[in-house]
Amino acid sequence: MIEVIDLLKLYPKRNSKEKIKAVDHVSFKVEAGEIFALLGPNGAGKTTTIKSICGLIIPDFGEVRIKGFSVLKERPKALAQISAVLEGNRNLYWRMSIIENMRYFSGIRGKKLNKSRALEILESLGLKERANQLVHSLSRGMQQKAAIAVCLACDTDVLLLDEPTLGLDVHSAVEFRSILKSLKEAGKTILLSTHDMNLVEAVADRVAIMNRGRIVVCEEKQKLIDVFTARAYKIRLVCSEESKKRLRELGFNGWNENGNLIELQVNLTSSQKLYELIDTFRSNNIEIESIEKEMVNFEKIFISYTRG
Amino acid sequence: MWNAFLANLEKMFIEVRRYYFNTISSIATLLIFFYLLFFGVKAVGGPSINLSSTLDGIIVGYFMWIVFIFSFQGVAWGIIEEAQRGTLEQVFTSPIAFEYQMLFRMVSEFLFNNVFLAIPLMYFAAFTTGRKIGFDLATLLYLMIGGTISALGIGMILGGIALIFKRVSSFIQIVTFGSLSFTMFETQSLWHRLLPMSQASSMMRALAIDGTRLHQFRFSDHAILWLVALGYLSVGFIVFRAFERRAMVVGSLSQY
Repeated sequence: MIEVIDLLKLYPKRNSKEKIKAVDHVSFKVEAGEIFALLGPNGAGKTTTIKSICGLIIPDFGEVRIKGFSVLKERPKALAQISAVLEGNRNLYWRMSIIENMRYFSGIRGKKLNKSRALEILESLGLKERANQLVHSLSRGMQQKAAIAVCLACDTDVLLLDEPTLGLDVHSAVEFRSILKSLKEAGKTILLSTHDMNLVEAVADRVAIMNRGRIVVCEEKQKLIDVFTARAYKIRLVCSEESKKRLRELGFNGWNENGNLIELQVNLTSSQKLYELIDTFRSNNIEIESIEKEMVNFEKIFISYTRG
Repeated sequence: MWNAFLANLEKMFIEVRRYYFNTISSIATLLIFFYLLFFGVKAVGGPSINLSSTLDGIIVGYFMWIVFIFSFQGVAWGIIEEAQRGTLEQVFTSPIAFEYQMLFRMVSEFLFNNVFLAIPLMYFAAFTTGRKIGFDLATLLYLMIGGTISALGIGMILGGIALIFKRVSSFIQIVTFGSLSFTMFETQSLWHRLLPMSQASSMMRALAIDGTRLHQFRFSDHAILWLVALGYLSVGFIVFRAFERRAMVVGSLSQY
């Protein structure tokens, strides 16, 4: 559905001839009907990637294809396949009503939106009663939903959402997740860039984590969670001061301590490593009280890939 | 394309209605400025000026100037405002190219500015100042269209500059006041007639003052009118595309 092929985008550094690699030879594919999350810390290159997909930025190298159409060479055909929410609630005309915005944005794409279809979309988002309300008088959550309504009014199979839950309160964010799930059920392909780990955990099928312009991992969300869950252990040890000293010598630096009981969190690449670790503790006379497999949330996975 | 044009036309009317205070105050400002100019010239010129065509020329020239500045300012201010609001990029994601969206907006504004502002205000100004201006409507519209097309070209150039530099209000003001000389002053110099709107203004004065009709103008007048109109529009498109591409390369579409 969306193919990003070897994308490179350089920006000039201020007061310098040097260039910064905002996106550094990034490639990935978004398949039809999936929710694909693009994650990364600030400045990782997510927005530049999304904007390149929308044809708002011309890359220095590489290309983007949407349903086989090149965004650079066949721009009208490629852009006819996608609609985007780029700046959250800022991408709407605030002095126009929701339905006027929907009519305008579908109109400038050459489509005529009839009223019954518009109301159908608004009903699915719980906005029907507010169809004629001006955008500026809506709450932030409502504005975000209105932006999605505009996107849906454009009647495309692919939706690009840049930071869709930014600034939403907990209730709105939870509601937003169920909206994304229902869009997926309706057959939409969704590419979202976000910092919201809860959103990713709740809705994404596949995840690409970007850091410093590169994709550091691109995997099915569940596989990532499984791999990390398999690796993460919480080990409780009964330690004397001597044992703690030994632990430090063995390279363990941080732990939670409660009297002579300490709790270590370790990430292991295989279960064999766990046995090796148990042997190390035994040979150093460090008493093991318990070993637990740790539950992993997406935040931990994200941090482990983007740290340093 | 037709739906895109209608969408832009509808949006313009919605915004005129929503920002009604701004609309009313613009009309008031235009009239106040006109009366200052008109009575200023009348006071300086003395009683003999009442019999000359200078005053009628001022009325026509002033309202041509308004059509001109509204046309080119609309694009540039539109881009600045959209960049501030955050809607500019959203419009850019349309499969119908942005320059066409701009063109549709300019045509919408042209219709509104002429039908609801310039022509009624011109009659109103003539009536309230005791002047009589006779117009052949077909000739008037022909000249308005021919003249405004060149202004749209200037609008595209300013819009392109606004895409890159964003804060271009001072530059727009310079062009606005510079454009006074294109429309307000009569000249037979070919170079002057090649300036945007200048030829149209000159023909408009002939229409307003002498009652010259469409078929009574010389062929060379028509040729210059359309050469200038299409020339500026083409240059406007080319320059706008170049700036648009530059903005996409440096990623400055939404930055303000």
